[in-house]
Amino acid sequence: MAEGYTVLVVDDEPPIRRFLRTSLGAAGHRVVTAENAAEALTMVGAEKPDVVILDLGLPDRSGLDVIAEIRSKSPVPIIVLSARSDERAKVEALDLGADDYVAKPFGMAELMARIRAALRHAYQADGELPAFTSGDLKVDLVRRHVSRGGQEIKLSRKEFELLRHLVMHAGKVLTHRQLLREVWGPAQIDEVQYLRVFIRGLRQKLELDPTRPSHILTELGVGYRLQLPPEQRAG
Amino acid sequence: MAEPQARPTAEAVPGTTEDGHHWAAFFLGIASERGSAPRPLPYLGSAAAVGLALGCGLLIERFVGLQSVLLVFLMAILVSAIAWGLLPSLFACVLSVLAFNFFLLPPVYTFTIADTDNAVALFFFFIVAVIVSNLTAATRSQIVVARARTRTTAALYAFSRKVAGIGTLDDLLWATVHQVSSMLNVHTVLLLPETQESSAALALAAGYPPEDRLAAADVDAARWCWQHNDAAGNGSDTVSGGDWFFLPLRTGSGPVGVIGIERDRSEAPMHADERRLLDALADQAAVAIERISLARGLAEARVLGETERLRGALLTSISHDLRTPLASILGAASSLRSYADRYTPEQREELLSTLQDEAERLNRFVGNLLDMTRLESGAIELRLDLVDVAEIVGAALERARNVLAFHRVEIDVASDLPMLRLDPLLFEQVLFNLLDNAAKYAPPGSRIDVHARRDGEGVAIAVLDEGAGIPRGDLKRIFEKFYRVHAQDRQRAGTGLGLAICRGFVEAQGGRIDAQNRRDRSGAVLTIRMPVAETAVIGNVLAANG
Repeated sequence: MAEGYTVLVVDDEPPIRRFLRTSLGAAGHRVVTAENAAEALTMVGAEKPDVVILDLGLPDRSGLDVIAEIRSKSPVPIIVLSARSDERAKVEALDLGADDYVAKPFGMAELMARIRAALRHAYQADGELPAFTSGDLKVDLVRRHVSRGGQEIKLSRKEFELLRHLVMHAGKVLTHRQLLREVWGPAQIDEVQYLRVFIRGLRQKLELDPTRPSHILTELGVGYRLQLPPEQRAG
Repeated sequence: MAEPQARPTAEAVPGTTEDGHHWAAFFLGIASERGSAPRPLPYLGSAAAVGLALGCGLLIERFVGLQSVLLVFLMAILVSAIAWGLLPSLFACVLSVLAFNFFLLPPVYTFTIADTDNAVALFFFFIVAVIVSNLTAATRSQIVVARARTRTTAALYAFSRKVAGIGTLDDLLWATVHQVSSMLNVHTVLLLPETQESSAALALAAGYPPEDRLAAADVDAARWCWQHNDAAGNGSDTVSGGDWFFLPLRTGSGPVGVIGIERDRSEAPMHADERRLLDALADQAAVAIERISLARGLAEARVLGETERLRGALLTSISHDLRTPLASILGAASSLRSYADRYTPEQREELLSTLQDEAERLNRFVGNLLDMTRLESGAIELRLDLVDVAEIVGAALERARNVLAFHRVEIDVASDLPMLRLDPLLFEQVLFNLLDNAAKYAPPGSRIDVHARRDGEGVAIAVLDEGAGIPRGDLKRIFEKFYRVHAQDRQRAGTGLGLAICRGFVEAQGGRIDAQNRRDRSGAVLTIRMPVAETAVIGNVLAANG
């Protein structure tokens, strides 16, 4: 499913552009590149990419500006490349509308998985309620039914809401604020500890070993990610 | 050397201010009679002594006769010479002659003398009395001077002993101005150069009573004194326009500062003894100031040496820890490129995984260097948040998965732990470093335990390994930068930064970290103790209502 898309790579470092062009090209994608913000914005209009890979540290403008500007005219999925020093910018980028992030230095498998999750979400028809199956965990959003190893799991209303959002964006990171806004409402977006408590509860019920979760992964300082089953992660 | 120093006080030097007398007064003997206006007390005393002698004289004259009465008056004169010195005793002589003449010599109640014998006797009595007065007063003043000198010497000795024990410049300056001020009964200041050069400007370093500024004329005098290494100002013959007299603080290697005392312009020039005392105090202060600057120079040299050592360790660390993975990466990449077709798929896989592992190692090392730099430059910005310990432990284990590939990891996180207020990213880095460290020092196949439990008022998170443990003497030192427990196997030796970063990060978040050896088997336990935030309770209440 992940072949034949146009990927725009925005990074000012030639070695990064070169290795991404090679790797993504080998995976069957058409790769176009830009080395600064101005070029990137032109390319978004001209090439109509299916996904944008954007470095936050650009020479001419902040990557955050670029995200805001792209979002003002296009819903194209954006995956941010962040350096270690961009901890804060990373969360801002996601809240501004970026779809995901990969921290530099990153492995190609990781980046491919992010691209796949972003595309999957972008091309998922509106109103479609996916069923989610990963290992022995099954979530049926239509019937509101969750089971592990065939055993039904009872969830509270809020727990189910939380899980529903994770499932709808399976494979993608969701920030604390995004989850809080969707599940608790805009007035509660800063109450991160609510979220932590409910995530802890969900893990107790869904995970085999809650101390080493394999479904609901923590993105420290950012949010949570529902891990896709291995067959959907690998290329 | 660095004994705790009490602030020097007046009581510290015996006799400084007792019974209101001042050293100068004792020291100068008759100076107080010479210099200032005559005080009435000695003369009243002398008059009283003469009056007493007159009373006795009248009694003796009535029952015995006139012959021995003059000796009674002589006693009064002696008493006032011993008690009050020359002038009061001369006053007593005159009073005695007049009183004897008026009350005792016939015709009484007149100043005329009828008998020539009596006139001659009275005349010689007067001569003898004056001579006795002089001799007695001279002896007295010698005794007073000797006693004052003894006390001065004792005070100077006590001062020198005290300054020898003072370790900081501030304390020394304060002790000096206080001592000069109380011994000479003057206002005192100390000026030191702002830098080491002889052309440097002088700055007020101490004053007793405290002074903020000097008049321009006094500043000029102080500067002249400093530049010419000679006395200047009011009371000397150079730059004498101001109120202060300045003396250089000299040592064998030149002046180290300037001491100033304030003098009344109308006052007589400084007495030689006063000046000698000031010189003695200035010399002692100068020697002590030089001693302290030398000690400080030595300490600075030591710090510089330590910095050099650290820089050396950093270079070693960088050259080893950057180069080793780079060598593997370059080696593996170039082999793959040049001989790709000769390798079996397994060999190729081996080289590729070397490439990846070594690049990851390099990444960790660079991360450590960055963390250390952030810590040292104080650029750590905490983003505190209430977090679930289990969650952070999970995240750290996830990230350390490759590092821990050859160890069994057991986790035991108590289920009733409160939320902790900490910076999740920093804390995860701490746990990662501890896991990385355990993996490095414990043999492959051994077990690593992660415990999180309540610990009194806080939470204790421990990482236990089954390695060789830590030599007793190294338990504290392993948290020092670039310190490594001596590893036989160089391959496993770390950067020497990991645990230093752990301590820095943990302490920045209000926690503590320590290292112990396991009691039940060989191996190390590294324990982080974090306090529990008060607001953590909210989270637990919410959980109950979920």
